[in-house]
Amino acid sequence: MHEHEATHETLRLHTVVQTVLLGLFGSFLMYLKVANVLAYYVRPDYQMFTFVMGGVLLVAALINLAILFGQRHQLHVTISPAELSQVFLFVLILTLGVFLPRRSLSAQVAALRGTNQNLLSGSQLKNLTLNDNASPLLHTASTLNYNIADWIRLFSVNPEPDNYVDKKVNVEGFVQSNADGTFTVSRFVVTCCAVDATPIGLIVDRGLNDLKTDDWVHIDGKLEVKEINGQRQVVVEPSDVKKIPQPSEPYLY
Amino acid sequence: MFSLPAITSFFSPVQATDYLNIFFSILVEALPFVTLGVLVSGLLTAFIKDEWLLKIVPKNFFGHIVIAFLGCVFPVCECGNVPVARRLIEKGLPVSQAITFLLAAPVVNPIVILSTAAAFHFAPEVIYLRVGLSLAIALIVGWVVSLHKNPASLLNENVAAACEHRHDLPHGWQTKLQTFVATIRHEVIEMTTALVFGATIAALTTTLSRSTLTSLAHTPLLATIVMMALALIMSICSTVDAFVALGYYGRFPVSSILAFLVFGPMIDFRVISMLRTTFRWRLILMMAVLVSEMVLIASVGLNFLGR
Amino acid sequence: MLKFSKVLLVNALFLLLTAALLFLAPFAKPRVLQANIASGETNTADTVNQQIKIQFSRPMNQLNVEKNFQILPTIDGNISWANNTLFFTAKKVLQYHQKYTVTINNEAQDIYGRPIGKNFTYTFQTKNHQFIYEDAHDQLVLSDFSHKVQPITTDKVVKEYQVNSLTHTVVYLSQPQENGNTEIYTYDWVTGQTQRLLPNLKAHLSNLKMTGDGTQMYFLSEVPDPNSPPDQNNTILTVYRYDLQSRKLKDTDLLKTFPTLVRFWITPDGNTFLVNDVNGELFLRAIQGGKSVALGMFADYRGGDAKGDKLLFLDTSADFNYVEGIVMYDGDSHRLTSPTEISTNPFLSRNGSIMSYSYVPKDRHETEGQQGVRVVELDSGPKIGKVLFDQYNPDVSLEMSELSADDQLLSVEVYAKADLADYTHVRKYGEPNKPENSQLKFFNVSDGAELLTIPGKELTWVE
Repeated sequence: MHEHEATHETLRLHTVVQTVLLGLFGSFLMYLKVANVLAYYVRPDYQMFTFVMGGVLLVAALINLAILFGQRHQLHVTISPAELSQVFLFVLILTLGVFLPRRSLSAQVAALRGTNQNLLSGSQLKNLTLNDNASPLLHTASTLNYNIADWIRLFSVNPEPDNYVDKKVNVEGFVQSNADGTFTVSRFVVTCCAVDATPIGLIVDRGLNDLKTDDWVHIDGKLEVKEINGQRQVVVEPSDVKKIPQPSEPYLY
Repeated sequence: MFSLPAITSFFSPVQATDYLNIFFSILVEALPFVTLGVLVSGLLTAFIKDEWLLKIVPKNFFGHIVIAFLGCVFPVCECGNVPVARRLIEKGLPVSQAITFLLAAPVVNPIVILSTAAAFHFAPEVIYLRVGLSLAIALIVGWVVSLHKNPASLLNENVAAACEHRHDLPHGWQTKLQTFVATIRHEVIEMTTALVFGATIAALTTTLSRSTLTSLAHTPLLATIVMMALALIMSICSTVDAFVALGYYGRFPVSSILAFLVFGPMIDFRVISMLRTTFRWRLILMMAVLVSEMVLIASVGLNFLGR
Repeated sequence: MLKFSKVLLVNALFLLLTAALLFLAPFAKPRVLQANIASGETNTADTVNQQIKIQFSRPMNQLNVEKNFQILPTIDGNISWANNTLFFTAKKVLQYHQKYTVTINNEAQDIYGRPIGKNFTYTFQTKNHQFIYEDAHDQLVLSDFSHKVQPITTDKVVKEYQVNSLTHTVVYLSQPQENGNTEIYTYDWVTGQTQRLLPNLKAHLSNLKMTGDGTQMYFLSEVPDPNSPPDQNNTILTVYRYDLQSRKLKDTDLLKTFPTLVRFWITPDGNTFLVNDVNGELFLRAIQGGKSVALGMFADYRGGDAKGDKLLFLDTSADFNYVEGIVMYDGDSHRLTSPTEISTNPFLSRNGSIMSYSYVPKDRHETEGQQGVRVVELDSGPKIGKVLFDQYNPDVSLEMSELSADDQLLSVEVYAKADLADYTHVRKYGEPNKPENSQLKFFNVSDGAELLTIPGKELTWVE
């Protein structure tokens, strides 16, 4: 077992390299948080935990190095092919991780996973106490600042499209073009990390015009009911469509 | 299930970025939990005596039940469980009980139960069935493994060797610290390697087409198989997989959703690669087969209750 | 190999069990998990805002289930789906005191083509027509046509009240002493509990309004004018907002931009303020703030449809002495009533297509003064269309009228001619005291039949 190494005469290079890699991984995690790009990978509640654990790894690596070099050993510089490839892999991953362009998952993934208008949720609907008795939509003011995920959650509990006619919307998302010439403004909802990102969106009753797929937009408008493929659907009738830069927190939770 | 055009255009910049994004999200999300599990494992190695542990957990079958609930004490998600389990085995825990722990702990703990309850508050049967089935399967598989006459043969070479050389706790604070950090180093690197392999496969879900998935699942049984395959590949932490399963609720029957929730925490590519650090293939295979069978039985059973 | 045998045996058993179940799997059917109505219980469902939810155990073939879905007697409505749950949303108010049966045929299939196998039925009964009014002793009571009377107040001096059916609550202002402070109370007619609100607020309060969802309450409080010269104790009116859900005072000086406000109203959807200022002008403003729209010199806002798209105002005579006619505002003003009559007390049905109002021919109003009541359809234009009900009796004056939520019943406040001697019932500004001995009459709109007469006034239908 490797714990015995501390008492051996020789110190394998691989052990030192492993310790350095450990420290690098820890630093990498901390770097992501400090550079404020952690939002592209993990959910907000995990971010501090990630940072702290990164710190733990870094500290453990430093202590380890201190101990190893404190006990003067002869450095044994052979390394096996398996170990070499492991090191190479890790270095590659760390490099990719540092230089990876920061962006949300693309509209292509959204298209493959199928953007839908159905999303159950455990969390309370924002601003509305959904009294079973009330049409929860009496107060326009309550839904004024709903984002796409909020709207979709509301649809899942109250799916009747007629209940939404003339409700004001103001949402942000990325553009996905639809087969019939209209486009959908979408977001990814993430629970754990990007692997489970589920696309959701609102259909916008307008052509793409100068917009392209993957552009981020801010849409002001109101909701209407339109029949699409024989089904009554809630769509957005936009009054203002503005291009915006990709937000630093592209996922909804 | 995997969109062919997407695979062939794999090296387009957008696709590559998507793939790497998912890969890193898995890695960055899991690494802190692995660290936590390794910290616990390190503490066990350096600071906890063997006898103390053996006192709490009886050797007979009842011990399985106790250990199944040990997940409540170490709620570290399935990423962090394997190092803990390995330490426990080296401390003298029977292999079969360690298996029960590995299978039960990811689900039978307060965080996962709460998260499942939050997601499926409108269908409480999902919560009870998930916990109940996971517990039952963990106990049954643990029992089957306990029938094995030579459990040591199930262990990885290094681990088996460590068990033979079981020695006392290191003396003195300096040696303890040394052992502690050395354990962390060694195990984090080992687990991260496993994690990387798991993430490489899981990130292939960039090419996953939902419509193909749905069309494949044209009977409830196929839906179950598809969800099990999805759980196997996606390798999601049990603390949040309830919300992922929620996304499939409208198109897939509850029986298949449960299969996803019970099978996923027990068997997925990430877990398999981490198990490989401690156990032999024949044990991993047996676990996989048994768990799959039982999940299928439970799921089809639910079909008969309309679900 | 002997070491393995137990394990292999167990494994083989499991395999056998799995295979058996897999073989039988195709015969498993879906089922209905639960059904319920959104508001009210099965015994006494509400008739407004009604939704029926049916949850299935599996994803269902939606078009197929919709074909196999039936409600008797038929309700005009839409079906929508959220995951495995079917929602039926009624387009109009349901019938009161009616038993409805919902059926899902046994052939309804899931997405795998398997039928539920047996019929599923669900029945619910809607409640009776209910109303709240001030009885002969000026106390508030809740009643229905079965003569069941539930007292709301017993010893209060009720000045104003507002009703909300969704939260089954009445809020009212009580003024024990003529020039004293006003008390605010809330009464829940399901629990029977009365609660005093804002007991530390000591002022003269008025103009009580409640939003359609029952969450917000607005009223005017008379406070000393800070700019008043020391020898005059002038007061100003300020608008308060109180959140009934959190039981907290949220605002004590809304509508600051209307320093000379006299009265205000809230549209039923809770989104818009209407304000009358001291000069007699009527303004419209969104509740969340923004610019005010001047609508003109109108006397009163008198209500609107449930959505707040159509508003009714009272138009004044040229000399502003009395109200003369009814105007509808839907973005533009439209005078609805005929110039040969003096029309007041309008009431608009929930969907804005039927109106009731009082009228008196112009040549008679100075001499006889009595009013009749009419219920009419409103055609596009908008203009008055078909007359559904008309009553004019020289011995009585038919005043405030209100339609029940299903537009079937009409309630009217009735005063005997003799009691009208001092009372100029053609409305002027301010709140004239009403004569004694008012009665409430109930009519069937369709055939004009008189159903009931009880002593009382100030009636509000409970939806």
